[in-house]
Amino acid sequence: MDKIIVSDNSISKELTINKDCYLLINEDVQTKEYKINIINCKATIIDMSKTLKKNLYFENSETMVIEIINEKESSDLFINNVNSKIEYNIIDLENSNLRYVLKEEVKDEGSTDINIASVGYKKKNKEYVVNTSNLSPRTTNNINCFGIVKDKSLVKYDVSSFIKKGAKEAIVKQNSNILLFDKESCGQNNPILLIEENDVKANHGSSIGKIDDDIVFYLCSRGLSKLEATNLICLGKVEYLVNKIDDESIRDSLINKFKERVS
Amino acid sequence: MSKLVIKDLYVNVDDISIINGLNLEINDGEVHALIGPNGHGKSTLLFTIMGHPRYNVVKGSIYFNGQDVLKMTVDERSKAGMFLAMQNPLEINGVSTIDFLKSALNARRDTPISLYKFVKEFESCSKDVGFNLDMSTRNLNEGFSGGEKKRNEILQMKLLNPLLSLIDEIDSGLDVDGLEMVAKVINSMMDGSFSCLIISHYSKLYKLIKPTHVHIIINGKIVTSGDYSLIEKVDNEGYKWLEKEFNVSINKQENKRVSIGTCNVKESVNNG
Repeated sequence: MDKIIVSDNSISKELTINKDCYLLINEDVQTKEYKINIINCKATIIDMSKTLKKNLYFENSETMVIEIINEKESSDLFINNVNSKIEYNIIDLENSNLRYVLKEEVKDEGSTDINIASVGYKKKNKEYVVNTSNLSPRTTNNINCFGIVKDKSLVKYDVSSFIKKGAKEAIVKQNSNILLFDKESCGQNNPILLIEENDVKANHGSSIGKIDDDIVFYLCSRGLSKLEATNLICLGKVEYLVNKIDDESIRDSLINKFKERVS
Repeated sequence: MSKLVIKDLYVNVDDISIINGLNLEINDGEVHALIGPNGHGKSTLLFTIMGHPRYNVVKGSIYFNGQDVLKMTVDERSKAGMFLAMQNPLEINGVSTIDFLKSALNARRDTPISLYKFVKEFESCSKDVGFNLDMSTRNLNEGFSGGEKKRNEILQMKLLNPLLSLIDEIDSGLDVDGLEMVAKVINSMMDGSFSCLIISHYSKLYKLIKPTHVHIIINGKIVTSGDYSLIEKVDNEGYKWLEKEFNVSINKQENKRVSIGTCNVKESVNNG
């Protein structure tokens, strides 16, 4: 598998990938906008760029993307999935306000998984607007959002899924969970399902609250301090996204950063 | 020296008094059985000893090896050598069983355990308790059957090697072989410095473990203590005979009816 590292602004041109590859978009990349087409191949993309506007087109491909939010206050992403299997993961541990708008369209039996993990701390507001559309029969959208909020911060997930008339046997799953660390912090989940077709499976689940006292007690009764127990519970929710990254140094730095944010 | 000393203990849960003046002493090498009808404070006692925040000690003292347990946090109690095997172990999403066990072992060590040593110890303990190794990477207790959860509790007990084990209805949901395994593990740990307090409603487990002391708890108080013969008597006759002999009422008062008032304030109808 080819390894492509993009560390300058050359990506501002339209990039087309049509053979299996591992693409690392470095944190030095500061271009305002880019478009990547992934066609007839398998790819893994690690994106640490500061790019504000992204357009991704997938056709007959299998791709995992891990986006690590890096020093930006807004982000605009459009995913066009044509008969592809996409997993888009967002890890947001940045100490900045953020408004992230993600639009996705899936056609021709494609399936998209969107996983978001966000930590709001030091009075920061994190706002995610996710709009997905199932436009053809047997298309799938699976959206999982997880948030941790502390220090008078806000994490908000507005997830809206649309199933077009005629998109028979389409599947949509929405799941948003937010853990609150203090009374001054705020979590908001606004799940919306807009369904025009009868023959579909669609559901949503949502929870907001503090960590269950019984769970903390269980872990503490095995010798973990309250802080260690809380860290373990929160880390578990983010670690599964981080573990998708092959590069050990990126993985370790994210885990350390996360522990720092939570403790 | 007595290991665990509980004196004149009163415990409230949500302002309802559950334990009412309980006294208990457990010494090294002793196995104590705690029996009694449902809802009379057996599990409450174990959770109180371990320090669950919901259980509020209003009076009395608990000492473990000379240390004031009530001043210790839950993890300090665990590190001091206490272990609670729960009746309903919680399912914890996002925390893998093996990561949790490693963290629990490291929490009581100055330097982290080497991966090789941990895996070796984990495999040997898993074999002893019949815990399927494939389940170690799954989330803690998530999707485990009742019996698997109980095996996981015993696995943790064996790995953490406590001085005092508080075992709450470990036999519910466990198959016959599992029950024998629990008895075998507990019996193998009885090396003179280990002691335990076991709650069970069934004599089968006690037959295998043979407790040295048996206590019957009614309305949050130990009404009588004795040896193994007390279990046989309860097994044959139930608890009714205690009412006459010790002048106690086993049927608990009916729960007070509660109405939700106009401003959603809970009011006790009986209290007006």
